[in-house]
Amino acid sequence: MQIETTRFGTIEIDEGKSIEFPEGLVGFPDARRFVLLEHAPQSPFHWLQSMDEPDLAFVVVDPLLIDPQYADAVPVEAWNDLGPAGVEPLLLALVTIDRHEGRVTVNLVGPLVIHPETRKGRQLVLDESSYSIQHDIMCSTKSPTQVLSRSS
Amino acid sequence: MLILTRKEGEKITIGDDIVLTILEVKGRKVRVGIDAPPDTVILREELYQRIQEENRRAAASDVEDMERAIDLWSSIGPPQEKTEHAD
Repeated sequence: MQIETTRFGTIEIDEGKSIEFPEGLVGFPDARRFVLLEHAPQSPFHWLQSMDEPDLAFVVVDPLLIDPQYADAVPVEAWNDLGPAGVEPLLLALVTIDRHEGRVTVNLVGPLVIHPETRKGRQLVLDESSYSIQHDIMCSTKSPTQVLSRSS
Repeated sequence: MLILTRKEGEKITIGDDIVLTILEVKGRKVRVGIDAPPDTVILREELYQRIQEENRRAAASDVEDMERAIDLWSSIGPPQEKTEHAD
């Protein structure tokens, strides 16, 4: 099917790949249907484009790339009503890019959890976690060689 | 705003599915227990506001911003990958 988007014009998408957020997102209660769009091959960042509001899209990233232990912070009771048990959720974190400061940060307190079979999701708020709403990607887990090569 | 006065141990019902219990009043703090269906979002209000604000900021991303994120990620270097060495 075709959808309208302000960033990419009219695009063709596979309706079967759509993701539904029955409760919308925090602050966007009516934004229910989304589709994931690749921006560039090999890039960890994707677009989460609203199918109903052409102007609404988010840059998203797999939070496990930032912290491989992140799934431990997501309680299964918070999302196991979205589909059959026994599967790993698809996790996405919303990315904020600050044009003025040039910072790229990831919201690790409000992840999107999606059931891979039903493709239903919701935005959780991890109230008691020690994660940051604005986790700077420059602070990601890095190998020692990378750290050494970056220091001057 | 509906205003009620309750004592410790007393409850308030909201709709058909939500019950708020005043568990303890101690000095300037009130401990509140909430029974609600699991898909009800219940948060400290200031946290909800912060998430909403960050969602709004994230929704302002344009193609240029995506490119910036990709460039910055590349400059960090690839994530550590498990490499399996052939024996």
